[in-house]
Order: sequence, then C-alpha cells, then structure tokens
Amino acid sequence: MRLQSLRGVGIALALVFSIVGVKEIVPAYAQEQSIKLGVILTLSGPPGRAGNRQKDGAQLAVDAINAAGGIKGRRLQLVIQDDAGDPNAAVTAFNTLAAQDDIVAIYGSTIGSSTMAFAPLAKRAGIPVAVPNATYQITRLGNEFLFRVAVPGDVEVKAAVDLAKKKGWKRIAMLHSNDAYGKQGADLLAEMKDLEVVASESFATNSTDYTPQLTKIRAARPDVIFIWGGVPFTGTAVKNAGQLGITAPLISPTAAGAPANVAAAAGSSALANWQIMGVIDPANPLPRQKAGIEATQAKFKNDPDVFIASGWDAIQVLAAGLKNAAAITRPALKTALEGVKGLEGMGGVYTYSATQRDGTGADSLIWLKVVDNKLVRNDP
Amino acid sequence: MSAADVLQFVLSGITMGSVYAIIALSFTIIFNATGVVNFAQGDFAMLAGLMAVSFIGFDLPILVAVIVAIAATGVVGGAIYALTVAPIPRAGHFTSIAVTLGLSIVLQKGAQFIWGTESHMLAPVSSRETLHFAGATITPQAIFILVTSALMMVLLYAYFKHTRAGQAVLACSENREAAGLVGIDVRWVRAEAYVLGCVLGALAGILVMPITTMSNTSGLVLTIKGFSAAVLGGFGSAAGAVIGGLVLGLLESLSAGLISSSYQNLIALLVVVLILMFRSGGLLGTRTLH
Repeated sequence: MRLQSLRGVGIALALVFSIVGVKEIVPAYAQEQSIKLGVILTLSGPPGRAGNRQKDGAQLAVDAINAAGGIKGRRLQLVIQDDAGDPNAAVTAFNTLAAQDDIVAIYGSTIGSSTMAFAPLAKRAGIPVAVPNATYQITRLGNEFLFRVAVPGDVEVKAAVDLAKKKGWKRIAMLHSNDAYGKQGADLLAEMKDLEVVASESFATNSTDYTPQLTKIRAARPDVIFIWGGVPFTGTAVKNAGQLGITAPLISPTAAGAPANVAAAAGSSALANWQIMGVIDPANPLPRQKAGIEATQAKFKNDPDVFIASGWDAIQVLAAGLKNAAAITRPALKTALEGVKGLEGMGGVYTYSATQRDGTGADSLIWLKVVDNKLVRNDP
Repeated sequence: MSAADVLQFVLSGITMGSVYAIIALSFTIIFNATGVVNFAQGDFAMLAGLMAVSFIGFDLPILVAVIVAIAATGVVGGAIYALTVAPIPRAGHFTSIAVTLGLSIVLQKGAQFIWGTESHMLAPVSSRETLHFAGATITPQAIFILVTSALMMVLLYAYFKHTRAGQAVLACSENREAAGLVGIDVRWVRAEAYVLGCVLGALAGILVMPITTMSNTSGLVLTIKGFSAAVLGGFGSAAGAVIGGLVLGLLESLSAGLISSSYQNLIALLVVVLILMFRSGGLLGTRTLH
C-alpha cells in the first residue's frame, strides 16, 4: 500500500515538473520575440457563430502583419480564450490572460455583458482592451482602458430613426432580442423624443418562432419595423414577417448582417423590404477594405462579414498603437492607442484620443440588402 | 387584437406544440420501457437535422437524405444505448439523468466538431411562403408538421395497441419481471424502445428545422420543452405527452401574443408549475413512476 502511494506521488511530481518544464522552455527559444495579444471571444454556444468569425478576422490580421515583417521586427501572437457567452467565464479568462505579464493588450469579448464583466479588472490590471461591442454604455463608464472598435449602439439606433424620418415612416414598431444588445436598442429608441413607437416586443434568443410577436406588431399597423438583434434570430424574424404577409419595411443593425441570418431568411418575401446596416460592400470595396477582403477570400473562399471586420480592425488598431508605443508594455500601449488617428480598417476609420473612446461612428455605416442570398449595398 | 390575430397565435402555438408533443412522446416511450429519463432527447433531433444537411450535401435527394438521417440517428441511438444506458439498468433516476445529461454534452460537442457552431437550414416542403386561412396565415411546413405528427401518433397508437412488438414494450413498462417470465426478451425490447424514441426525436428535428434552423446547441431547448410538455401532460402517459406538448405550445404563443413577449417563457413555464402544484401527476396523471 505505502509503496504504491509513494509511487503515485512520484508520478504526480514527475508530471508537474514536466508540465512546468515545458512551459518554461518553450517560450524561451521559440517565442522570445513575439508580442502577445490576449483574445477573449465567445467561441461556443449560439453567439459562437459571431465569435469564431471575429477570431478568424483577428488571425487574418495577425498573419498579414507578420507576413509584412511584424511590428518592430517582432511577430504578433494571439493567446485565445473562449468565454462561451458567459460573463463569469469571461472574467476567469481575463484573469488567466492578465496574469501573463507579456500579454500587452486584450481583444474581446463577443458579447457586451462579458466585456462589461471584465472591464473593471482591465482598469485595475492596467491592460488596454480593444472592445468589439456595440453596447453603448461600455465607453461611457469612464474606464480609460477600453477602446471600442465598432459602431456604438446609439449611433445605430439614430441611423435607423433617421432613415425612418427621411422616408416619412411615422409609426415605428420594435421587435428586439432579449439580450443586452437588443434591449439596448429598444431602450434607446424609447428614450428618443418625438417618435411614435406603436409597439415594442421582444423574444428570447433561444426561442424559435416569433409569429406571435409579429402578429401583435402587425395589429399596431406600423410604417416600419426595427428588428434588433444578432444571429440567427434576426433572419428567422424576417422569415416570420414574410409568412405573416407583413409588407412594412424592416430595419436591422450591423450585428444582423451575417450569413447565418441570410440563410435563416432565405426565400422570404420580406427580404425585399429588409434594410440592414453594414460596414462592407464586398462588390465595391473601398481602398481601405481591399487587403482584408482579399485575405478573407483567400483563406475562407467567402466575403468578410461585420465580425471578420471586427477582428481584423481590432488587431490593426492594436498594431497601430504598438508601432507608436515608446515600449512594448501595457501603459506605453495605452498611451499610444490614445494617439491613433485616422486608422483605416475594414469596418471603419478609427480615431482615438484621451477623451474619444468610440473609434468610429455613423460615417462607417452603409445600408445593405439581401439579393440572391448575398448582402449587397443598397442605399435607401 | 382581432379574432384573426388570436387565431394566428393558436395556429403558431399548435405548430410548435406538435413538435414538443413528438419529443414528449419520445421521452415517454423511452421512460416507460427503460426507466431512463433521457435528457439527450433534443440532441437526437439536432443530430438528425445536421446529418440531413450533410447527406443533402452529398447530392442525395432531400427525401432520401432525410430518411437516411433519421435511420442513422436511430443507429447512433442504438449504439449509445448499448454503451451507456444498457449497462445501468437498475440505476436510479439520478444516475440515468446524470448519464444522459453527459451524453447530451458529448453529442453537442461532437456535433460542433463535425458541423461547427453555424446554424444550418433545411428547405421546407413547399417553396410557397404561406397559405391563408380565415384571416390568419399558416405555412405549408406547419401543415406538414401537423399532419405528420398526427399520423405519427395514430401509427404509434396502432403499434402499441395492435402489434406484438408494441405490446411487448407495454408489458415491459408494466412489469419488467413478469414480462421476462412470459418469455419477452426484456433487454431487446428496452433497446428497441430506446431506438424508437431516438427515431421520434430525429423526426421532430427534421420537421422543425425548416422553421427554426438547427445548430449544435439547438437540442437543449427542444429537450427542455419536450420534457416540460411530458411532465405537464403526466410523465409516462402517451396521451398526456401529446396534450402537454400542445398546451405548452399554446401557452407560449398566447402569452407572447396576449400578455408580454418579454416574459413568454416565464409565463408559459409558470403556468406549467401552477398546474403541477394542483395536479402533481400532470394533466392526465402520471401512469408509472417507479
């Protein structure tokens, strides 16, 4: 008995030493030169559809930058963690990454509530975070370590309302997902003055049929319906609208512009009325978008969506900061990021300052429509 | 709110309700024959849907692809039964729940490995978007779901009432020892019932997929809804499963339509809890809870 347990202890010790040993040795000769960026994204669960694209976009940008010689002669390297859409897991992931001193910045997370969860810790750890969320409060909390690389949600709501006003659509209905992103859209719309919001309905992100909500909305006779949410439920809602014979125009924010929604709404008669905010028109790319679109097509045989653009741009923003940073450290990078001006990304042109934390705004938005199962530009 | 709108709520409630009913039935059949509450039930629906997409990708006609996918799900179910459920015949409910919950996670992650986390789509039976019905609209797929699930229930009824194999399943659920004594191969019948349950789950997945899309995590919601429906109707009762499914579907769509969509699931499940408080055996009463 005693001999056996001794042997067990011996094996356990050997295991521990071997793991520690490997960890000590590998970076020493293989990765001494690389600059490490932490990534916290939702790679599993329903938002994983978005998170995996963000990861792809980030990796594409890292590959492109490394192929061009890296930054100050050093390669970029991503250290990736999955938060599974759970803010608690995001905090754990954050702590794991922040404990590694050589990680100088973090990109993440896919869902706003995860980012909100680790934001105070980022301030304490003094680590700059490239935030991909539209959740508008994130950059209004006085946390100077957060740099948004996305169009904020209040800008999206305003864009939708402006379009409705321009078109003379007075009676507005809102159908939103029951998560932070959807609720924010509904709250912001409710706060806006001089609007006639005739119905506001929500749906759980795990429900699969929105016919009851849309029937209720139809009864309110709206001129326009805002369908506010991500993937794939926005597409399902559009399909349901078509099934109910709703002919009112439908407007969705950037998070809706993804292939999963296009697939879910395939063949619907409501597609003709659906306007989606976007950042890329793959058929007519802007000069600043060409590199990212080509990299995406070469690797994935597909056009980039808003999530690939998010990953790509976050790395480009961080890289721009690293290039100007006095040293490759967290505080130097934070200061350098505040000096990033007019950085041309796939999803927008980004400018930050000591007070400006939303890198981009309404001028990055374009309108998209689904034609032949593809998102194409359609300025209404 | 017009009468046509209410009819619309009822139609969409019955449609989703019949899908819940099929899953509740598959819970019931497996539970009655094996005593296992199979929490991987919705994942078999997911598996069938995603396999159908792959088979269609191999250029099989949709109907063939769907049938092959359902059959393949049955085979996977049989293998899983032999590996995980059969070895724990006398284990209590807690053990079986733990095992099948674990199974559910394995199926989910396995599916993620093969199909990723994307949502996949299956074309509906007809490309026609809607049919009009007394001021409300109904999709051809919804009619297809209603007809198929009704037909399935009639077939199941005939199977259990009028075939020897079906009677053997019933006998096992009544009294395993006695069934064995009169010469029924209890182990075989239990396996058969488990596979039948998996096939029913698969069918539910195929039926609902054109309406909801399917991803590796879609199974869990179906499991929860199907299980709630089975409990609501009276766990172990086949008629109860059908009624429970329809009532749950109606509760969901009516509460979303008439009360508040923000609390759709809350209201529906609250009513389920209330019903169970006053009728702890469910609407039709639990038939067997060993």
